[in-house]
Order: sequence, then structure tokens, then C-alpha cells
Amino acid sequence: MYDNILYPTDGSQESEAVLAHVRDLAETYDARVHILFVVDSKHSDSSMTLQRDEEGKWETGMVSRGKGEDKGGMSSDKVDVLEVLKREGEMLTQEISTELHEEGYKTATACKKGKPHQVINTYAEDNEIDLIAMGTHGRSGVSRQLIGSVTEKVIRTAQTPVLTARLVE
Amino acid sequence: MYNNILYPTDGSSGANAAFEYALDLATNYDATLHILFVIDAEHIETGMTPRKQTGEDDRRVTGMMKRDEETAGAGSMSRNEDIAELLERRGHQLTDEIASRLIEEGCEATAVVEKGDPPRVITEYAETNDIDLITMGTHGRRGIKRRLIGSVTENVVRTSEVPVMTVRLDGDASKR
Repeated sequence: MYDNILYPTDGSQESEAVLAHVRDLAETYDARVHILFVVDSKHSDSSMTLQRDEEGKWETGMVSRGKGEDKGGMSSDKVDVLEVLKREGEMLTQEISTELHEEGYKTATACKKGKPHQVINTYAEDNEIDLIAMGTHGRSGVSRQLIGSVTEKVIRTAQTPVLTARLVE
Repeated sequence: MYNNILYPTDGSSGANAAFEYALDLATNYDATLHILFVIDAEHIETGMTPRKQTGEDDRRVTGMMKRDEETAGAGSMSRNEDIAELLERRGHQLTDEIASRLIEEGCEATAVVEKGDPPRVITEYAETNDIDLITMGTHGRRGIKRRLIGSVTENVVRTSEVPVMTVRLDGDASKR
């Protein structure tokens, strides 16, 4: 039933909550886990602020596992936000992939720019995805009561079943 | 991981779309499948009108359920009782039919009919019955025209503490 499971993540806690389900389903069905990070193209014209990390590299503070911290500080004028996000996304997906791989899972990673729900759907279609598993809302979710717009769009448009889970505190 | 899987259904094709996924998970996880039909309180309170089926005698149907093999109750009841009873009987018929088919196939299944506001009944049932996963269609009967995602499903995804697997009736790219 499930040979390829897509796990779109933005590193948020909600995304992390879904990972337990991804692990279990992938083990039960012997499926490959595709870890996808989408560099949201809308960030290119946003006034997101960046700061340099210890090594002097720019960082957004948006892509780290667990609790996100909006570090901010410098104006983004002179750096390409999307490039920074892409690098952070690659690190994130690589980190999760390595973790899963060590546990014996088959994995694949991807980091793509665009509108999140479109990128997720296109990736799903191009890679024979049978199931998409994601948090009820990621970082762009406004309130706890609302379902994230990306998740809502994916549920509405995906050709595959979509498993959503929320962080239960 | 999944010992109890909830499959809410209103008998619509949208709900049916999720069935094979619920069944597959139940089989793989050796889980009990709970088949839940919710009698929408709104339908009783708002005085939906049952009509006589064309060409047949004294058959009252709500027009909401596909399988209309039994005749509805006598006409002496008040309209609201009439509808509630009709929906209740249909609900039992539908869930019992699915459950007995599952049991024949060697699965554990429970048929449940409850009354109330569908999303609330679904999430409450899930929380009080140790449900590990809810499997449902993106659209049931309610809201197919009004909304892009059915209001019941949207509500359940939004409020359920239990993970939800949503299934679209047919993966149709043209609807995007």
C-alpha cells in the first residue's frame, strides 16, 4: 500500500510530532521516507531578518529542529534569503535522513524552492508517493485553533492520502 | 502504534474512499476498526423534510442515504421523530453491514451510531475510545458544494488530538 512516504518538514515541533508516525508506517510497510524541505518563495520579498552564526554564516533562525527561535537582527538587504534557507533546509533534511538511515530506514531527501503546497504535490507525483505525512500546521500556522494553510491546501489537492498529526502537549 | 482505528462514515462515496485505507491499516496493524455513523443533530433540528419516493408507496426517504431498501416508519409520528428514527435505522444498517463484512474477513470491528454535531462526536469518540488514528474522506455529504474541503473533515483535522488520515474521493489533478 505504501512504498514511498513523503514527509514535508519545516523543522517545526509540529513536524517533529509526525515523525513517529512516519517511522512506524515506514517500518510496517517497508517504505522509503522522502524528507522534503520547501524553501517558500514568498520569503524572497519578505523583510525577514538574518544574523550571522558562530562561523560568520548568515542564518534565519527559522530552520532548526524543535523550538524555533526568531533570532533576527540584521537587515536582509545584502544576502539572498532563499539561498540561506536552502542551505539550512539541506542541513535539516540531511540530519533527519542520517538519523533515519542509521535506524535502518530507506530515505531520500530534497530541498526545493516554490509555493509549499505546489512543491509538495509535484514532488509526490514525480516520486510515486503513496502517502504524505505532515503536521497540522508548521511555522506559518497562525493560531493553535487554525489548520495551517499549507496543510489545508495539501489535504485539498493531494492525490494521495494525507496523514496529519498535531503536537499534543 | 495503531490498535484502534476510527472510520467515520455517512455512507457517501466521499467517505467510502477512505475505507480501503482504513481496512488496510487495520489489517496490517491487527487493529480494531470502529465504524461510526453520526446522526447529524442539525438535520433533526432544522426540520429536514422527508419525501415520498417517486413511484413507490408510502416510502419516506431523506434522500441522503444511498441504500434505501426499507420503508420508513408510520406517519403518525411527529416529523422530527420520524427523521431521527429514519436516520438512526439507516445508520445501524450501514455500520452493521460494514462491520459484519469485516468480521467475516477476520478483522475486529465495532459498529457505532451516535447523535450530535459530527466533528464533535467524532473527536470525542476518538478521545474516549483510545483511537490511535481517524481515517476519513475529505468530503462527506455536508459541504461538498460550499467548501473546498468538507466542513466536518476540516473540523476534525483542526480539533482532533488524534492523528487524521484524509483521503480524497479520486486523485483528480483537474480539480486543482
